[in-house]
Amino acid sequence: MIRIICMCCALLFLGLILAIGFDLYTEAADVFYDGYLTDKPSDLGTKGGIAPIILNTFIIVGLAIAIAFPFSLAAAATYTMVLKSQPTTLQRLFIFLIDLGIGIPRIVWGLAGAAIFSGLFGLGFSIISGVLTLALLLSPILTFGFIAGIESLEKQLKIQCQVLGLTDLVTFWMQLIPSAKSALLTTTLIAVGRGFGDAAALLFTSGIASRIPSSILDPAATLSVWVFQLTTAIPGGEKRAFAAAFILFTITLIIQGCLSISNKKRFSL
Amino acid sequence: MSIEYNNFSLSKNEETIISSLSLRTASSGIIAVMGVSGSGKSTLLKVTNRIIEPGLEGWHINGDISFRGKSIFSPDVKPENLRQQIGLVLQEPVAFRGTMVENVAFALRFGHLKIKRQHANKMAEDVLEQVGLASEVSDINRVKASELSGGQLQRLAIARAIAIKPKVLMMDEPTSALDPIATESIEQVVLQLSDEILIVLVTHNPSQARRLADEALFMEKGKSVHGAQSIDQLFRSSGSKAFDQFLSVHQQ
Ligand SMILES: Nc1ncnc2c1ncn2[C@@H]1O[C@H](COP(=O)(O)OP(=O)(O)OP(=O)(O)O)[C@@H](O)[C@H]1O
Ligand SMILES: [Mg+2]
Repeated sequence: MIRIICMCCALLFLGLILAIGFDLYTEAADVFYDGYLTDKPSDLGTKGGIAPIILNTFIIVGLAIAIAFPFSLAAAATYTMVLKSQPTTLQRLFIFLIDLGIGIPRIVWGLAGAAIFSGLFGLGFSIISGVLTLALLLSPILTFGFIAGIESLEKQLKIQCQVLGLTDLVTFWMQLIPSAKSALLTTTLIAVGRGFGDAAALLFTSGIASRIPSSILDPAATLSVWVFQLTTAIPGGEKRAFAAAFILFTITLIIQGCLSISNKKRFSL
Repeated sequence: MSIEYNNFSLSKNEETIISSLSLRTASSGIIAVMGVSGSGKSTLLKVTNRIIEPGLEGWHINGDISFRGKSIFSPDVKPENLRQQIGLVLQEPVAFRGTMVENVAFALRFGHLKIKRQHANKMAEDVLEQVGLASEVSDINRVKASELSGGQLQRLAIARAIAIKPKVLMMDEPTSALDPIATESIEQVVLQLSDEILIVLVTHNPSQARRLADEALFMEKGKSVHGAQSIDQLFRSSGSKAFDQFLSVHQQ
C-alpha cells in the first residue's frame, strides 16, 4: 500500500516536472531556431540566441561555488573540530550567524553586495562583484549542509579516531569528510541550484549585459537575470523569457541528473 | 607506566559519576575493573585518556589523575599525545572506511608514527594475524571493515589499538562479543602484552578477571568498593556484599 502511494507521488512529481518543461517549451516554441544556443542576442534580446548568457551563467555560478566551497568547508571544520570543544555560547553564536545568513532574503544580499563590492570596492557591475555576492550568499547554505552532514555521522567515529591518538586535522579530513562525502555533494547540488536560480543577488551586482565578457571586470547576465530582464524591462520579451527559462530548466535538470546518477548511494547510509 | 588516581571525582551537570577514587596502578600487568552496568567503568576509561574532557559538555572533575608522575589535565599535555600512550579499545568500536588492513594501518600512517604505507600495511597484517583475524577472514586486504561481524570488529579494534604500541592499554569489555575460542586467543594476546605494558581490563566476567588479572577493582555507583586489591584477595575476602552478589549472578 505504502509502495503504491510512493509510486503515485513519484509519478505525480515526475509528471509535474515534465508538464513545466512542456509548458515552457510550447510557450517559447517559435523563438527557437537552429542557432538559438550558439548565437548572440540582438536588439535587447528580442532577436537572436543566448550563447553568451549561458556562458556567463556557468562562469558566475562556477566561480561562486569555487570560492564558497573551500571557505564553507573550512568553516564547517572550525565548527566541528574547534568550536565543539569550546563553551556552548560560541557554538550557538556560530549557528545563529549561519541561520541568519540562510534566512536573509536574497534581494538584501544583492543590495549589500552592490553596496560593498560594486560601490565600496569600486568593482561596479561586474562578474567578480556578482561572484563574490553569490559566494557570500551560498556560503551559509553550504556550511550548514556540511555541518549537518558531518554531525549525522556516528558521533563514535570521531571518538574512535581520537582514542587512536589521531589529531583533529587528520580525523576531520581523512575520516569525517570522506565518510560524509554524499552529504557534501548533495549540499553542493543544492547550492548550484540556488546559484542558477538566483536573479535577486546578481541583478545589482553582475548586471544585465548580454555580450561575451572579456574579463571578470565586465558585467554579465546569467540566465535567471536574463529571464527577469526580458519579462520586466523589454517590451514583447515574454516569449523570449520563456525560451531562456526553458534552457535554464533543461540545464538544471541535466546537471542535477548527472550528479545524482554519479552519486547513487546518496541516501543509503 | 603507572597511572595514579588522587581522590579523583567526576561529575556531569552536578551528577556524580565517579567519586573519590584513589588508586595507584602497577606499571605493567593486568588490572581488572569490574562492576555492574552503569557503575562508571567506561566513563573511568574515557576520562583517563581525555575522551571525556573536564569543562566541556558539563563535565567537572575534582582531584587528579597523573601519568608518569604528571597530571594528565595539565595545560601542556596534548590530548593526542596522551592517547598515543594510553590506548583505549572502545566498548562499541566503529569501523573506518576501507579494508581491514587499511583500518589497522591508518593510525600507523597518519598518527604520530608516520610510517610509510607499505611498511604500515605489513605491520597491520602481522597484528591482524596476532589477534586471529588473518586466518579467519578470507583476505584481510580485500574484506572491508564494515562487513565484519560484531566479534570480528571487536578484534579489529584491538588490533588497531595495539598496533600503535601504547604504554598502557585500556580495554572496555574486549571479549564481550567473542566465542570461547576467540576469547582464549585474545586473552593470550593480552597476557603477552602485559609483560611489558599495563593493561586495564574492564570485564563483566569474574572468571576472566581471575584468569588474567593481577589486581582488581570493583566499582559500584562510581565508587571503588575496596580500592585495588590483589585478585586472590578480592575473591577470598567475603565481607563485600556487593561483590558477592556480582559474583553469584555471574557464576551461575
Ligand atoms: N556522556 C554521558 N552523559 C551523561 N551521563 C553519562 C554519560 N556517559 C555515561 N554517563 C552515566 O555514567 C554512568 C556510568 O556509565 P558507564 O558507561 O561508565 O557505565 P559502565 O560501568 O561502563 O556500564 P556498562 O557495564 O553497561 O558498560 C551511567 O549512569 C551513565 O548514565
Ligand atoms: Mg561500559
